[in-house]
Amino acid sequence: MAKGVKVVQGLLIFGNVVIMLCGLALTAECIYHVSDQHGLWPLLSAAHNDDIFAAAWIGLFTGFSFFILAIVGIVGVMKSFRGLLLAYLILMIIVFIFEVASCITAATHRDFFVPNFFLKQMLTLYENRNWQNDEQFQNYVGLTTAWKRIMPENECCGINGPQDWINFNSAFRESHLDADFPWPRQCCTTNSVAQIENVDACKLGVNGFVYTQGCFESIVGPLNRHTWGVAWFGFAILCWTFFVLVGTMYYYAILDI
Amino acid sequence: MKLFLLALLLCSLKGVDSMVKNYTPEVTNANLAGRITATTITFQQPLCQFDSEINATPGLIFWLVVANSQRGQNTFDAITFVQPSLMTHQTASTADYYLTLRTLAERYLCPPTSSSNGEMYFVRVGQETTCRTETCNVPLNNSKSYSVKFILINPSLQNSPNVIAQTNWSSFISLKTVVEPRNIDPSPRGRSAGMIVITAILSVLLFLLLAFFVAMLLMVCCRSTGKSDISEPIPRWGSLKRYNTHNLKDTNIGPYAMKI
Repeated sequence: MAKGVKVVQGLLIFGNVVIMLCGLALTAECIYHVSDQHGLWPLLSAAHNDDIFAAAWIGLFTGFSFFILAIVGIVGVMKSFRGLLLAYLILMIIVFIFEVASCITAATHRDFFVPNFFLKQMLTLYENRNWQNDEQFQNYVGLTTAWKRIMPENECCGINGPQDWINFNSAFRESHLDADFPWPRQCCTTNSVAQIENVDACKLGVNGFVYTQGCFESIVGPLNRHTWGVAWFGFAILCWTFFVLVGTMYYYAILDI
Repeated sequence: MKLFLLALLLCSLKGVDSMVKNYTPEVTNANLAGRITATTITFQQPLCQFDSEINATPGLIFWLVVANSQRGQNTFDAITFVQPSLMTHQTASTADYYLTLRTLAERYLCPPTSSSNGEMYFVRVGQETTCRTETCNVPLNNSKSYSVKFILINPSLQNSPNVIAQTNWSSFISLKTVVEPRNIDPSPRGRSAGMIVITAILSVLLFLLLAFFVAMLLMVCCRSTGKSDISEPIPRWGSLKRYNTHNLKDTNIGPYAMKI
């Protein structure tokens, strides 16, 4: 019996060490996601569709909780403190539930990243000056600034290409005439000193003077990668944690037979 | 004698009627993102079409006639003496045509082959958003369709037919109709397989976990009421040494093991 118990103990400690490391990794990943290296948060925030960041925030805290609780679990298993083990189990289940929420939110949210979502939002909010309150003001300005940065940075224009700006009516169109500004100047190619190469050619849409590529990939690419990580890495951790927790329950149950 | 008169008449008729070139202005076929927008149309320049006339008479001027209806076309075609200053965009609402894009004739000469590499020759109708001249090239009206033709005028001719040559009318070209953004449907195209897998498996795992936890608690509770008084101590790590010669019921003997 004692030998079998030692094996269980060893397995549980190993399992908790893995949870510890994964927890740290998840925290790190979520910090990276939350820090928003590509500056895409305004695009999601403006459409009140930033659940993905909520998922990352939850993941950040659950990752850290996993790290701490795994240490508690290791101590509990080593010392065979029943109280500690019960506390470990209860807290772990709570963290587990939160991580399930984070995971499902991230996975669900990935499906919302379709071109039309970003297109509609770009058309209605870019250069929109009809804000009603402070929140809208911040959202609109944030989105406009983000777009003005994304387009030159990624050498792209609109969501599907410069046509987006002339095929659709938009807040931008209301303040900018079609003949002068078929698309924002940020779509124009620039030379090495960041000056527009040829405004007239850009207005005409001559290849090489306007970015003909759409920005969809540049926007959704990073978002999708991060979300994929939060969703599937979280999922993997949860599967592992499930077995460790079941093992701990078994251990707890046999503790005083 | 009669024959001579007829010939003279023919000659004079030819002089009066401007020459219609076998050329139809066309929307550029170049790969331009903004060939046709909601207020502009970009045409090819009528290069190489009028070289003989331009070379024969210096000082000729090109104008672009923009008509927005068949009636406008007919009205303009009936006019023999063209006065561009009276046919501006301001009169277009009643006349259905106007003249714009005054261009020195030499501009539409055949470009020397050496300089044509990389150069593009376009005429963008509707370009000028701020008018600086009377005959400016105002943005077009999105609800109408437009037909254009180039005419070559000799400005030195007064009160006599002054159109030296002209092209055919282009076909009527509709401007781009814009779609309202509220008609865009931003909803996702259904659920991805990954999302379904994650949600399903995690729900099952969570359910199982809770079930196991409840089962464990029940097991422990039930056992604690009727449990045997002899139990094997669970080995513990971390204390000084495992020491279990005594079958003590209380497993919590670590610190006392040394004393014995």
